Amino acid sequence: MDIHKQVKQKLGKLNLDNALVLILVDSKHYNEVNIELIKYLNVDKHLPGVYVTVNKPYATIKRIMEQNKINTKTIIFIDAISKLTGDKSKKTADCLFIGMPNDLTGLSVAMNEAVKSLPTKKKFLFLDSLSTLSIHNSAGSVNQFAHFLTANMREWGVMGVIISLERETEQSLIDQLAQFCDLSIELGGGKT
Amino acid sequence: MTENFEIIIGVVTLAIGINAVIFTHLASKKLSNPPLLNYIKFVNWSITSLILFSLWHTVRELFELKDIYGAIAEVPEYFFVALTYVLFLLGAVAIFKMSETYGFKDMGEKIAESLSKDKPKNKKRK
Repeated sequence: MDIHKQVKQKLGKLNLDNALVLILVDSKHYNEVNIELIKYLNVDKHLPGVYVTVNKPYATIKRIMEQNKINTKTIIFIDAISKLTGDKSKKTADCLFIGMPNDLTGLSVAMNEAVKSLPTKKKFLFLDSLSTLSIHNSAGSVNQFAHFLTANMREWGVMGVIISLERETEQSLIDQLAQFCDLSIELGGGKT
Repeated sequence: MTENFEIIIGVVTLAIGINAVIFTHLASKKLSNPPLLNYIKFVNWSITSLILFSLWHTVRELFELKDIYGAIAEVPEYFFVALTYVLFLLGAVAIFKMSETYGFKDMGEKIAESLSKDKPKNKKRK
C-alpha cells in the first residue's frame, strides 16, 4: 500500500478536532511520509496549522511543500534549526526562527502563541521531529517537553502530529508518549 | 511611633524583595529562552534596586541619618527610585521585543484572509 493511502486510511478514522498522533517512520520514507501527512491535513482537509521544524530549514521545507501544491500561506512555520542570527530569534512574514533546538522554552512559547493565533476551530500542529529534538536536548528535557506538548495540544484543541524516526528515538520516550497519544502509527517500510 | 512604623514597613518590604529576587533567580535557572531570560534579568535588577532603596531608607530611619547629615542622606533613595524606573523601562522594552518575536496575531489575520479567499474556490470544486 502506498504512503498516501496509508495516511488517509489511518488518519481518516480520527476526529480532527482534537486528536494526537505519534508517527513513527523509517529513515527511507521520512520525507515522503512528512509531505503526505501535511498534504492530507492542508490539502485534503483544508486545515491551517503550525509546522515546527527541528530537522530541515524553513526554506527547504517551504520549497518542498510548494512543489507538492501545499498551501503554505495557511501554515505558520517555526524553525528551530536555521542559524540565521546566532542566538537571537528572528521573525519573517511567515516564519519564526528560534535558531536553537535546545531552546525548549522559546519553542513552547512560540507554539502556544502560534496555535492560538490561528483563526479556525480546526487546526493542526506538526512537530518534525522528536528524534532530532532528542539529539539537541537531554532525554529528560525532551520527555518533559513531550508531556507539556501533548497536554497542551489537548487544551488547544488541535490535531497534533508528532513525527519521529524509528530506532533513533529512545524506546522509553516513545512508550511514554504513545500513552498520551490517541494513535501511534508506523508508516513506511510496509509496516502499518 | 511613625518612625517605628517606617522601620517595620522597611524590614517587611526588604524581606518580600529578597524573596522576589530568589524566586526570579530560580526561574531563570530553569528557563532556556534568551528573550525571556533578558526580561527576567531586568525584573531581577529592578527588584534589587527597590531592595537597596528600602535598605537605605530603613538604615536612614534607624540611625536618624537625616538629622546628622541633612537632606543629602536622602539622595541615595532618589537614585535607587530613578534607577528602578529606568530598569522598569528596559524590562518593558524587553517584553515588547518578545511580543514582536512571539506574537503571531498578524500571521493569524493573514491566514484568515487567505482562507476566506480560498472558500469560494472550494465551493466551486464541489
